[in-house]
Amino acid sequence: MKQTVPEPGRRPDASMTLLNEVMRRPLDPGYADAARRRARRAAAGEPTEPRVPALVVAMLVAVGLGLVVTVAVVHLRAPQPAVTQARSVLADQVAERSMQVEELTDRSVALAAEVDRLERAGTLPSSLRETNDLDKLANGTTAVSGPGVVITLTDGGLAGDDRDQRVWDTDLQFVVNALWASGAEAVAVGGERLTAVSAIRSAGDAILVDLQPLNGPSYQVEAIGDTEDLQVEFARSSGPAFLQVLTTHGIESSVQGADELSLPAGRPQTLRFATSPATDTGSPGPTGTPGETSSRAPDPGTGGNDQDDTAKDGA
Amino acid sequence: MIPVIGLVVGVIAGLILQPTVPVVLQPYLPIAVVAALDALAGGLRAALEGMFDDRVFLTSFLFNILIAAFIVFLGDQLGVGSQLSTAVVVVLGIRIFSNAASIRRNIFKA
Repeated sequence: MKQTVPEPGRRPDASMTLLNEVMRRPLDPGYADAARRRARRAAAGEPTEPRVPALVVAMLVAVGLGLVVTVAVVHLRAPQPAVTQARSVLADQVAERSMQVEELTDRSVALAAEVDRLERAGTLPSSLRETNDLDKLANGTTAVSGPGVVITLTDGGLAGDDRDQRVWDTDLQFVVNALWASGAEAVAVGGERLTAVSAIRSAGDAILVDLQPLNGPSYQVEAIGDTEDLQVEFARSSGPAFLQVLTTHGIESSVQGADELSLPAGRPQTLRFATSPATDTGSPGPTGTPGETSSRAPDPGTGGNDQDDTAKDGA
Repeated sequence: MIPVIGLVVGVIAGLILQPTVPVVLQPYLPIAVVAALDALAGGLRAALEGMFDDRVFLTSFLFNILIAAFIVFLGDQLGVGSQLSTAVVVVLGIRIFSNAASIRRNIFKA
């Protein structure tokens, strides 16, 4: 059996110099050198203290190093840039997707307009077309314009965090219901047209109209109808008293007539239909038939109730 | 003594001024801090063993930081930035530990 004998003068662990270097000599060899040099100078009778320029340079370098290290430590204790980066990437994605949704919605509106145009040019009998048009106006599938009323609610105490000083979804619901009850023909909140199945609700601190968030601190409720009648009816309703209550919470409100308002069409709705379940429980389901939608015209009598229903859905 | 006073002045200046770090330099900060810790541990050990030297301390401090930053930079360029950072941290970490052990022996005689 042959044994490997290390050559004389060669350490058995010579192949591991790197590790040895790290483990055995952690102290900078420069210190030992410097100590030897000092000892030699002292033995030769030379001055061992460094000269003044060297001291100044040493001082400056030391100040610089201290500064750099402190800045590095302070900076590292701040929130990690990677986290904020990830956040901004996500935020960008959200913005991008929202834009896509916006584009597709626009396209849908354009296509709806084209369908409308083709219907007019087509063969529908005029009476049917008239009913169709009125229904569309009522259920908010076409853009409308005309005189009306604008009610603006503005958050109070903008600097504070007091929830009571903010406009809530229920506040907007109340105003909208009062406007329907006062004879509004079409209503939009923050530029979002309300339809028979719209919901005004809140998610966290944001108010959503048909899932579209509203931008505070000012919220505009636009209603189309005869300006004078609307204002008179609204003044007779419980609306002004409610706005008065809001004022005590610091929420400012204004009711103004407008000669020309134009409200966009409501967002396209998914078609809902009822199916009869296998075991009939006898209670009506939460979904309505498409035909039912067109009969839900928001006339002064029942319109308010309709909106109230949907508002409750959302609340 | 001079470099220690200088370091203290630099630290205070850094805390007061709070300058912003350019984004380009940010990946090198953690490594720079570890390298600085290594130089500090080495200096402290040398001082306890009676052979502290201003110039060696400052040059080791400066070059530790510069070389550590350069290695990370090189690693980033080669696409192995995180691995090289780990290597630097391991080596410097071992040195810090051994120096700290010597310091402990010097102070507590145990």
